Amino acid sequence: MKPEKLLGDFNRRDFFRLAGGAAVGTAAAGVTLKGISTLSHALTVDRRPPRGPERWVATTCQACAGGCGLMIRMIGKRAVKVVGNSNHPINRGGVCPKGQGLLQALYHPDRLRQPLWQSKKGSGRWEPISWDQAVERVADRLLSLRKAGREKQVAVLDGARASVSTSLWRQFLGAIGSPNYFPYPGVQDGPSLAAHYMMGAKAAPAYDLKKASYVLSFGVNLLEGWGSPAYAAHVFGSWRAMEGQRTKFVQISPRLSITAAKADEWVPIRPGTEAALALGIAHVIISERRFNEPFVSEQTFGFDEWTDAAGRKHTGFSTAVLRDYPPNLAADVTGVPVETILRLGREFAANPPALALGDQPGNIQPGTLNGSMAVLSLNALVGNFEQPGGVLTQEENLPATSAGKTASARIDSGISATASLQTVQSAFKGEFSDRLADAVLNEKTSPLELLIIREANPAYMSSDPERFSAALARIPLVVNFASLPDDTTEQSDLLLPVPTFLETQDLCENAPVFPHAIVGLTQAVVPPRFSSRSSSDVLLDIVKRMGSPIDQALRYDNFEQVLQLRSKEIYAAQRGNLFGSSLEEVWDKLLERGGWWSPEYSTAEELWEQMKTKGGWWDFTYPYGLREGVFQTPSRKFEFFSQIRWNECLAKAGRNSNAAGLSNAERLCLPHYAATVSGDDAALKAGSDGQFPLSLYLFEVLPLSETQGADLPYMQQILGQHLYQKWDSWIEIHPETAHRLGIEDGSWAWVETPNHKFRIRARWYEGLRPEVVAIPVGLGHHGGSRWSRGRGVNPCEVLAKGKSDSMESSGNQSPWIKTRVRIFPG
Amino acid sequence: MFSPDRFKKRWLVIIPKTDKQRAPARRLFEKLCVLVLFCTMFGIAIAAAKGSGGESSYFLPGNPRTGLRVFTEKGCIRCHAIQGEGGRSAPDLARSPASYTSASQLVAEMWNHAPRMWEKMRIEQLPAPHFEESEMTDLFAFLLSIRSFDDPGNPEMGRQVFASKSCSRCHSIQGMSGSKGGRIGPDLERWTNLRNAVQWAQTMWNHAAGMRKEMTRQGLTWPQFQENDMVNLIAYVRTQSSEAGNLVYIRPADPVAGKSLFQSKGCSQCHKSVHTTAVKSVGAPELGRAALPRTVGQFAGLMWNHAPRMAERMQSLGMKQPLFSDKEMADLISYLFSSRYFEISGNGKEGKQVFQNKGCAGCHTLGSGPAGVGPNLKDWQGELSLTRLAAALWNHGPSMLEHMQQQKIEWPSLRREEIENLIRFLEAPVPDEPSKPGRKKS
Repeated sequence: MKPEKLLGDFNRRDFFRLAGGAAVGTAAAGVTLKGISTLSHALTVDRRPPRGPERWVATTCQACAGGCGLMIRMIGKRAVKVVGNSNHPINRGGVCPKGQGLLQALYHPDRLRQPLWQSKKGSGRWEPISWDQAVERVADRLLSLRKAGREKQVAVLDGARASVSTSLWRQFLGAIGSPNYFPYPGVQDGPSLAAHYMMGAKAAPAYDLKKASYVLSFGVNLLEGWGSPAYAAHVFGSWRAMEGQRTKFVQISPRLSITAAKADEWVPIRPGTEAALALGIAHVIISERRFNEPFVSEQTFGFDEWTDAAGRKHTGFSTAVLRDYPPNLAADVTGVPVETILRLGREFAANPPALALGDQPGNIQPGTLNGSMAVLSLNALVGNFEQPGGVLTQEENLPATSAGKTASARIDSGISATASLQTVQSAFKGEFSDRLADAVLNEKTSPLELLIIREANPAYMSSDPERFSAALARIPLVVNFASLPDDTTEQSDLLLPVPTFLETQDLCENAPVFPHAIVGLTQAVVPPRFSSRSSSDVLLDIVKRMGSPIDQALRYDNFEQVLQLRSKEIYAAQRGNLFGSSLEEVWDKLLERGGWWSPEYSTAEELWEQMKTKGGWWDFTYPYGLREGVFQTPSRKFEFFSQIRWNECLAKAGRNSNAAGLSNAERLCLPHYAATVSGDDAALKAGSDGQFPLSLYLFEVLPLSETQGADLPYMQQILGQHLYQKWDSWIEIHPETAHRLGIEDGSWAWVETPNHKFRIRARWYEGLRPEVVAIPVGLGHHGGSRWSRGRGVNPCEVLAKGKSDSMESSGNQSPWIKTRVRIFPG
Repeated sequence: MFSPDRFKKRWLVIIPKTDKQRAPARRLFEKLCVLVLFCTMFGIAIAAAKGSGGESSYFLPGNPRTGLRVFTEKGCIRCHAIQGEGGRSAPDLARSPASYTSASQLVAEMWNHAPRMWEKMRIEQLPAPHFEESEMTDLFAFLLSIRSFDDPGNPEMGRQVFASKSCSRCHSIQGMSGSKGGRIGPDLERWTNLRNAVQWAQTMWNHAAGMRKEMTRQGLTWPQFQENDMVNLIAYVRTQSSEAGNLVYIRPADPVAGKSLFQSKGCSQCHKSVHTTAVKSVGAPELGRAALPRTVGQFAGLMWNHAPRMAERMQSLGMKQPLFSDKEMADLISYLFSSRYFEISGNGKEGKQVFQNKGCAGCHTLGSGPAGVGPNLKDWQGELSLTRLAAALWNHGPSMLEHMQQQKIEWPSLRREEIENLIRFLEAPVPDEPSKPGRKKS
């Protein structure tokens, strides 16, 4: 039985009728409330008006990593409206379109309804089974693997945002003895690795955006899903609210995104040259001695030449920048005028606290390591760390958890993954799927026996769907927890329906970019629909069935007990407070400054109960100041020259490393711009001149951020508001280029890469550099629900090969920016 | 330092939630205020002698958290900052004046600067907000609380304090070695997470005897902390912590508990307070307004400074030095700060002089007599409080100013004492013929 056969009774006639109703409303002006209302009404599970008392339930959004607070309006037993929780410190009452669309996910007609088993992956012949059977199959496989000493062949691929649930799964893997917990990569891949190398950080940095006076964004699309869009919108508002203290926001990107349109200044740049621009700006700051000399001399390492313990002399950052990146050269590379580079450098140094962000455009685009290192070095030049308006750290700011520590201790104490899986662990989104396929296919036998996928769709991000399918086919048991069918579910053996987060409980911990410790409660506003079950509860059932000693490590009756234990840990931290109004936040902060703490709860039980009303807990303070241990590098300072990376290079090269190899390694350890691409990328070389003259730039739109949202008509309806595009993909072409190529606005065009060719609707857009064409990411699913399957194109599939090299090799050219295409009328 | 919740909970007992219902309770509160002022006017000893009869006099009227709302919604924040947050065109009310400031001092400051404020607001086209008395009470409660909070502290200045006060002769922080830190005293590592100056003061106070002994042996003088030295020191020590986020705070202090402690810990043996006279006449200073610094941390520093002298005196009197927990010390300071805040020590006779000499009598009458330009102030008799006066001055000030400018009358400046005297006079007018003050209606 196919999943779609298990759907509700919503038929094609219904759809066309409602789509027609929506079209009437949207024809004149793209989208109207009436049109959407018609669409929404027709898509609800029950068209009869709900009856019963009204109530509002606070919960936390998990539609993206942002973790906004929501208030769900309930009429009787039905959820009818979503608004922002004004007490939630991240969004303060704001809610983005994805939040508005949650009810469509909740009442989606294609929801998976019961556990399904297919004897052959990809066959589409699904057999309904009971939950007991499903739990038994997984538990038996785990027990047999443990008995055979092959527990390391179990892996969990977790796409859920950080929460108590993810901690539980980590704890579980630690208990059975597998190190293979793969958090499906999310935001800030490039910046987090740069922070690791230059600051010794174990997590992505946070930013004190609100208090910055000047923000230089290297392609970071704040308003389109980077971090939390509602938080970014709130920050934008605060930048504009203070009279006489307006923060200047400069957006540097090849395309005029919504963020760029809202910026004080948009600087169009050639794709992939952000590092060159950042270093050109660094040149201005260093050559004019505008850098923060006390910080650079006392808190940084590698600014000047230095000699290591082996007597090798190393180039200093200042020497490399002054030698290689004069503004005129940076201008040639980036296409940004010299005058602009000079001005940006001077403004950045003259407006403390000035913050540089990047270079990662969105949640799924990894950015580049060298670009991120170059951007981070700008923050170091002005000494903007651990101070208001600066780069902050999120590490260990949450109340300690005994469960997490146990798990990580087990994982860190001697259990190591096989070499191929280590490679997977260190991958970035976009590379992950390819690396997983490599790891599985390149060995004689699969290094994985059991792969458990939670709320992730790695098949969509694969550049080679067939190869990825072949890899999954080699893994004997693939278990997939999902609420809707997607590209990956079809390649699974066991499909387990999970509730949406409006039907389940969890505690979401921390949010990307946001510097404060925060724990948002996700509540079940309605009971789980159909026979879906929370993956955490299913896990506890599996543990019980496995018996001793595993059930001793996870001795919980149910998941709610785990959550309540976590709330006790939060209470024990004796800091922070429940979410409250902005004014209460101000008051709490004033108290804290004086060393006083006045929470609205007096017991752990009271905290747990009040979280249900307020939405969660947070620590409104931040310990500003360069504490000991902020920089966990070998020098205990910010390292312009990354010794961590240097040691990695030495370890890789071994003792026989030659001078050329060491020279290249030295270059990798300093922020740099990689002007050349890897030598074996013949296709790119061939296309660099005439055959493939245009750069392909992929961008995320908010409705499809993190490649999720294509299942929801609300999101399909508002894909490209600036061009009134909806329900399909499009390619943006500068009108000059389009005119030259003979492509009309709105006509079909063929897009060709060295390996692929596809047809797509062409749209003229002046907010692009003429040598660039742009396509949104998030459509073109091979599997999925009725509204996502086969709609549009997936540009990830046409990205230039060599993804695995994008972050680590000498090339450092991400496929997201190095892919070139040619276009002709279709 | 002052718990809004504690006050809220206390107030909830007598104040219904809706504004309409609140009015009678407010009137009750006003009468309580008058009772407080009455008691104060006729001597602190009476209140002390009555014991529990003076309970409400050391409660802080109003809710500081609501006061913050008033401060924000009335637009004060557009010109005034609070600890650096807010407008820049007027003084930061958390830091200026730099010394402990009673409510009457605040009223005087407000009165004296009012013409400039109104002029600035007129130029900037800012609407002049209207204050209800309850709002003014909350505002004053907020200002007292916020002014008692310590600044975050300057780590660099704290580092200098650590070096200049010879702390490093005995203490190290996280194993500073050699010349950087001593080994005699405990490593301050365990203090790096203490967030409140009171926690430091309490620990230092409790260990003062041992420290004094060791310092004498070392030939070191007892260090003196000035103004923000202690909070700067705390800020510095915090930067030496490698752990972020595990800070230790104190729950908001309870002035009621502080009053009990003042007696149970023996403070009242030597020190006079609002409610008590010193049992022993040993020359210990009265902990009046003049003796109080602006912040809790500064007060903690003073306690430290006087620790050796107090220890000597107590030893000579055969008294044992009391030990405190951090919460107890916070409660005690809270009691002293709040009990002095609304203290009014003026007299009606001098108030009458103020009324006449400052030109009030030119426009206002009291009781019978020819009506002036301004309203008759007889309604205030027996029902006047500082916050009512402040609200009236603020609300009617602009029209007063306009009239005075038309009449070319200079805006009179008032000192704190004059405000207090004026209140005494307005609530109980002194007859023209000098005579003994009559009994006042309660």
